[in-house]
Amino acid sequence: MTADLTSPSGPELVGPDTLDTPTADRLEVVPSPLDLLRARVTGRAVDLGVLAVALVVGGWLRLADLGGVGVNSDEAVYAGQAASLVGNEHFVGNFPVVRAHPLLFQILISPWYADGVPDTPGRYASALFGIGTIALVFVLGHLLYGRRAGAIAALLIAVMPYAVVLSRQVLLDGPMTFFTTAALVCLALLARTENGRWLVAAGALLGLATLTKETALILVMAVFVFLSLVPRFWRPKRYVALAAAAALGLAATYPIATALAGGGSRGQSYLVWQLSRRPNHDFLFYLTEIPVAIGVLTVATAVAGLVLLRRRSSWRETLLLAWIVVPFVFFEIWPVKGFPYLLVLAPAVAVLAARACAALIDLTPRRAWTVVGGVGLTAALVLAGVVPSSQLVTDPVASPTAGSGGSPGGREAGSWIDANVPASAKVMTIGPTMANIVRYYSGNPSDALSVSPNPLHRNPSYQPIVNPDHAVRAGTYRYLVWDAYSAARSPSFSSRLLALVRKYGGRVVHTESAVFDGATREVVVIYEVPR
Amino acid sequence: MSRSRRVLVGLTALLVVVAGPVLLADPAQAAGSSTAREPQRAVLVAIYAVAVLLVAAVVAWAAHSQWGRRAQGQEEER
Repeated sequence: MTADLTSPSGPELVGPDTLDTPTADRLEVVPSPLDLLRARVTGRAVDLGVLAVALVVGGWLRLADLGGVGVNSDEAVYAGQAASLVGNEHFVGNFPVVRAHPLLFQILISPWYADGVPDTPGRYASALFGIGTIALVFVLGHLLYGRRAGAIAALLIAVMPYAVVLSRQVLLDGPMTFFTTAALVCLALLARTENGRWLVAAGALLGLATLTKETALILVMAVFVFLSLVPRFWRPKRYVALAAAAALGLAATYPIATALAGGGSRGQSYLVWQLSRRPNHDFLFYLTEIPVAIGVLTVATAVAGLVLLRRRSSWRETLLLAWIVVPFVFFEIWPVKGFPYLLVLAPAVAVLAARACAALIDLTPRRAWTVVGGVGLTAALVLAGVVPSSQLVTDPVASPTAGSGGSPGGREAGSWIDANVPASAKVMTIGPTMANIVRYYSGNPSDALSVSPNPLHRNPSYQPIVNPDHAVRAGTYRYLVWDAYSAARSPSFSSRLLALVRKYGGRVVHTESAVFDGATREVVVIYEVPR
Repeated sequence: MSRSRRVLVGLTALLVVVAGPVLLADPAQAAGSSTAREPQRAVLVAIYAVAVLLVAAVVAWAAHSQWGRRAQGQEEER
């Protein structure tokens, strides 16, 4: 059987390629200004122009001013791992290579962490993965619903605050989403061409995504659901078996590599800890936070498109919905809820919203209001995304988008400790967030008061301070760091740290101020306790 | 096999795969893990590099077969 990528099977919208083709009827009539306008709107140049705008705007939103704020706690961990991987002496003692997640991204960025204390190379790498995801979303939308939908989808993901904020940080979710989106493209190619090798490629890419962050393994379930609901893709079965072997075999590389490299027991400890963590957010967390981060209007447009175009439904919607519903349901049930976990479903939402916009523009019979309405809807979606996303670049601290802002003052405080405190002096902080930042920038060992003495209730990387009072009295910790961010989350541990400062006559040796909670205030205070 | 059975069998198999390492993990090791020795970095990097190359080969294999099909299709049309 031969297959052509340009001739989709199953019910299909009127694609822009079709509209571009001049017909005899069109050649016989004198085009009106409206016809000329339509021809321009439906033109290939416009669609590719929209894609170019998506790449330029998305690139600016992801790459501009990446060093404005220092690394946050998670970034410190991943960048610290990368630096430890290449043996950077500043990090080796403080950031063990094997921690909670696989190491593909850390390995990729590690060459840029060989010397000094860099904090932006990982962000640039993450941003480039984000820009790559924009291109993949275009390909996905093009394969499923035509070039126009692909271009609009690329524009939507380019300005989506959820994608922008996570692509500007040294986090694993952006690169993971790049690989999962590539897998989704392979599944679309499988369905379009019925070439089973694309299923194997999708499985391999999901394996690679799992080597970036293990949560990507959930999407293997999405593939199973898709194949079950569209059973014609189950055959030939050898491809299904090969795809499963590729995904699970590559995923197994993570524990095998860790064990072979001598970090097996630590890897198991992290696994146990991840699976036994207590819930950190309530059931409504994803329902309230993620639609806002993706864009309420974008989500509403995607849903409206599904409802209004239900008669045109095909394997395309089944594929995208499986990609959205499976991870959403899984993480809704999973007790630990991280803000970035659902980034993998954002490309599918963007494509569904773009489908609705493109369908309105290309609605037959064509009317001026449908074209204007479709373009207007697209413009509204882009505007609703680009405003909060721009704020992430120009004023990240004031941005209301979750996950933005970092910990202003943390980099400066850590650098001050590096310059003014003996390298071996241990530092006590309220929580592990500031402890990681202090470790990252100063290289000093740093422990947090809030770390549980119970090994099953703490990250295995963190050492608890079993008796803080004795530790300060004995001189184990001479520098105590209070920060407004941890204090806001853990007022009781903040009070304990300040009580220790008072009890042992601590004096302020350095402060950092920044905007926090809408006002400029002291966000980091470093106390020195006399011997 | 019906659709619902396929979903059930698939999800069960996946749960076993995910749960397997957890069942093998020893919670007691968590206590002393932070003192575990650093892994051999070169081994880690080499294994990950092989994994990436493997995926690149699989994607190239799929793409190559697609181009072959398209070329064959164009041949037949002529």
